Amino acid sequence: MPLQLKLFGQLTDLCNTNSITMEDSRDTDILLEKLFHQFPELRKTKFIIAVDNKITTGNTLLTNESIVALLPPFSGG
Amino acid sequence: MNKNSNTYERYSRQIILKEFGTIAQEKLMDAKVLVIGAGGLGCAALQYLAAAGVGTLGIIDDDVVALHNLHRQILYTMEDIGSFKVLKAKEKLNALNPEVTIITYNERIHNNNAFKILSEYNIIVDGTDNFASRYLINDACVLLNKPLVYASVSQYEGQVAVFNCTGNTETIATNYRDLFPIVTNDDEILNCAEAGVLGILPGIIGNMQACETIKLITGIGKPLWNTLLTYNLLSNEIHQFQIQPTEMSHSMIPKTEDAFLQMNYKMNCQSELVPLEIEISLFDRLRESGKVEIIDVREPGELPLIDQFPSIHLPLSQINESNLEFTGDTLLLFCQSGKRSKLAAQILSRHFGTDKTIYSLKGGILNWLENRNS
Repeated sequence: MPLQLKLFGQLTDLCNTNSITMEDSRDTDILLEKLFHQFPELRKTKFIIAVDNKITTGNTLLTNESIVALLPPFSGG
Repeated sequence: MNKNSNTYERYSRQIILKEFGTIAQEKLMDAKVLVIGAGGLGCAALQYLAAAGVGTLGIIDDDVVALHNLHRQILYTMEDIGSFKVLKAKEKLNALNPEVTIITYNERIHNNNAFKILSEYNIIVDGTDNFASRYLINDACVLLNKPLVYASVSQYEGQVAVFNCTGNTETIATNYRDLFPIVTNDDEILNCAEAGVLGILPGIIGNMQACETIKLITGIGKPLWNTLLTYNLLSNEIHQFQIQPTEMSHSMIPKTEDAFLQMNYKMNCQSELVPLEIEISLFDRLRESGKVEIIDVREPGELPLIDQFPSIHLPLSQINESNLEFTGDTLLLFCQSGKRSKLAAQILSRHFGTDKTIYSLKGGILNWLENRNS
């Protein structure tokens, strides 16, 4: 089952969309490598990863029902 | 609280709420809240905090009102352009609610003033516009154990979270470094001046900050403890993400006030702080305020000599790390045409980061003299 990826902030400009459907990945590291291959510009950008609405630290296992979000920091006030 | 008093009348519509009452209102009136940054977020948060009756509001900002602020910084009007934001904000908030004590700090938040100012308040609201200040405020709040109501905006999207408190003793409180442990270089992410922001967005997000602050003070509802809320104005999508404490965050926060004073937040984030070119009118207004240092960056021997106001001579060619000792928080730079002073302002901004505000006189001193003579 394909995996749903949500993009936030200026990542949507880089990828030209706010939602990407990716093929199933075992963990977030593998997912990111596939994503960087598809959108090389993302590799240069800072963002954090949330899996199923939890901010993650380090590589995180994914299920085929996981919803992954990529959130960049903002500084504007 | 006397039911026949003007104070009761002013707040009556929220006092009659079932879970609010006079007890919550009195908590608000006893509270002291510091809003850092009187920009888009700060303007919105300040108005509702003052209207709700927060007893003491501190406002810290060293900036002046500019025309490009007015689409989102709705405390200010055309007449306020060139005036210090904190002074105008205080005027407007006093007019809205004279029962609130407004304390202003016409300065920039930095290592040396953070502890002294933050320690006077119960809750800190971060409405700043750069990463260096955000990490600095976060670390000071962790060390002082102060709840921090964080928010930031970009283009059509905003983020809100409540840090350093959880409402219970079992849960560990998270902070900004748990959310973004890897310090972001200010050059990496476009700010409002570069990426743009729809004016109403900081209004919405700043109001959310005011709302979270009111919930923290009064105990109503469930604040965004250890939670990041994101709001997308275009799609109306709202998401909440749970933040978890991290070892990395713990290790990166200075452990003592002395260690905090040694932190170099501006280097860590390399704030780009685009040097502002200012027109003659603002240059003169800042100059006459007496709270600035004026620096002539022309080379020795360049004419005309300027004796109309006091200035320090620091030629652009001689600017280096060893001679950058200035006492003022705001530096006004000039040269003949404004080109070299702009370059000098970029160099000094790199060096001082958030510690100082640096302006370059647009058109240079020749333009200033011509304007003065005409």
